[in-house]
This record gives sequence, C-alpha cells and structure tokens, in this order.
Amino acid sequence: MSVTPVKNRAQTIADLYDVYLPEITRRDGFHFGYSLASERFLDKVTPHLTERAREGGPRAADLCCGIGASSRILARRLGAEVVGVDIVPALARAATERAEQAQSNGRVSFTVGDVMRLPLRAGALDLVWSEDAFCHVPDKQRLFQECHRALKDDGVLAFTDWVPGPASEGREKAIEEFEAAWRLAPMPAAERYYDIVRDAGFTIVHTDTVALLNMELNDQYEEAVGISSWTVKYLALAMKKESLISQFGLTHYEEELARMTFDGYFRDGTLDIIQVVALKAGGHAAD
Amino acid sequence: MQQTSIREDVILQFVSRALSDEGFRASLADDPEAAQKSLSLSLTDAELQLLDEFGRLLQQHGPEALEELIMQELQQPGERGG
Repeated sequence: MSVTPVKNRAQTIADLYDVYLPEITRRDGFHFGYSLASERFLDKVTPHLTERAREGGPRAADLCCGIGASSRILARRLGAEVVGVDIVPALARAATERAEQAQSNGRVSFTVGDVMRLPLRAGALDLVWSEDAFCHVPDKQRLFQECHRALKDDGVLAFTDWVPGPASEGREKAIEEFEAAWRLAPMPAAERYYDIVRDAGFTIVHTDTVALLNMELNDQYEEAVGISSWTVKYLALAMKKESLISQFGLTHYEEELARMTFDGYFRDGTLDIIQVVALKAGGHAAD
Repeated sequence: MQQTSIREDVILQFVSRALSDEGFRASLADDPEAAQKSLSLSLTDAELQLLDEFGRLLQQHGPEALEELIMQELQQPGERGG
C-alpha cells in the first residue's frame, strides 16, 4: 500500500485542522458526542483493564488526541498517566494549554507524532485509546501493529472510528466526497476493519455501532454548550458566500461548505461509527 | 471546481421558504417529499439528505430559534484565522 510521505500527510491534515482550530476549541474536540460519548465508551472499556491498571492508574496513550479532551477524561476517571499523540502541532499545543488550564498537566502530556510510527517504547502501555480519528490514517495494518507493540502483554486497545454504514450501498459518491473533504483515507467496511485489528494480533472482546447514539449525544452536548450543528454552520457559510470568497477564495469556500454537510450521513445510515475494544493476544477476559 | 453535488443556492431557497412560510412548514412536516416537489426544484441525493437534516433541526428548534441560531453563526468570524 502506498502511503503519503509523513511530512506531506502531516501538512495536509495540519492545514485542515489549522483552519478549524477555533471551531475545535469552541467544541472541546471534534468527535461525535464529544465528552458525553467518551465517558460512555470508557464505561465499556474499564472492565477490560487489569486490576493492577485500574487500582494503580494505567499508563495510557490517546492517539490522534486533538486538543486532548479524551486524555483529560482518562486522567480524571482512571487516574491514568496519559500521553496524547497528534500529528498536528497546533492541536498538540492547544491540548497542552488546555491541560494546564484544567490543572491536569501533571498526569497528561502531549507530543507531536505519527501514529504509524509511535514515539513510544515497546510494552509500555496499559491502554491505547482513540476516538473518531483513525479514519485519517492510511495504513491501518501498520497503525495496529504499532498499537500492539506499545501495549503491555495484558494491555487494552479501545477506539471508535468511522466506517460506511448499513445504508451505504449506492451512496459511494457521497462517501467519496466526504472522504475527500475531510482528507480521510478510504474507510474500510466494519468487518474488514475488525479483521485488520485481529491480524495485528489482537483479540476483539467488544464491538458496537454507535452512530445514532453518538449523534443523540452530539445534539445534547451542542445544546448544553450553546454551539451550532454543522448543518447550521453550512447555512451560515452559504449566506456569507460573497464575503468568504473575497476573503479566502472560491476553493476555500467550496471546501468549507463541503465539510459541513455530513451530520445527516451518520443519521441515515450512510456512515456509521464503530466501537472496538481488543486485548493484546495473551490477554485476559473482562471481570 | 464544485466540491460536492450540493448547490447552496438551491438549499438557501428552500431554507428561506421554510423559515418564512408557515404553510410550507406545515406541508414539509406532513409530506416532505411533496413539499420539496412543490418548489419545482430537482434535488440531488446529497441535497435531499442535507434538507432532511435541516427539517430535523426545524422540528427540534422551531423556525424562530433556528433562524436565531443561523444568525448567531453568521456572527462567527471566518474559520481561517478565526
């Protein structure tokens, strides 16, 4: 599989998220359901951690951590020592600032890095965590091999990610537009995705599809925090067409618009969100 | 280059009608497909999907609150450079 050289790929993703940094900081992250979804997912993951990790505070990595909202939740809920890894320097910087503001910086640190070449030593982690972000990673085999390498023998891999949904047939063009707009790697079907995880040496102990639930949590969060849905943003951008084009150019305007149209894809089954919890082979069953 | 098969002028025409015309909103709630056809707009799948999402927001917030949300969003600075 050909992989875009890391500098180019990093720059492509950095360009995208640099644009959205103000929006990300308004929302405390970018994954659907925000902290409400993270908390619920963590409820499912915690029983699979070893007793030692639960009692002593696990060592965890939050991959593609964005501005670190999930890292802070892992530190607060589990007493975890967390390193967040993101390929976008501006996000890692924002994550560090937020951790300092939340006074969780003693347990949480952030580093710029490529998850296909994790800047972490082998066998160091009890938990590898990620939410709605591996969709940017072009070589998932290599990604999960790296997760496997970084985990202790009884470590846990827990992530959510985007996949074509149950109503994706005939919607290939919409999915391709979505992938292009958000600079995603082609999204594998859920079953293929699980195979890639198993092929890296993991035993899957939990899967679920949670798009509808997470969209509901998304609505709750946006209402509670007083921020707009992406569809509202779309309408506002379209109404500001002339000024945006004169300020940033037509291409920028059209790209922005294209990114604002996907909420419904997660509600109508065009896209779905998978949850996966897996143990490094030789691991243990949940309590 | 058009990035998606969504025409924003078509969407805005629909949204403007839905926010300003109570009768249209009623027909939209009653039979979305017929309401969409009544505007004589030929809509792509992606446009229909976006308008479905708009219809959901309209149900959730009501027209005044939704218009207010859009106006608030209009006050946000351009994304680039925030």
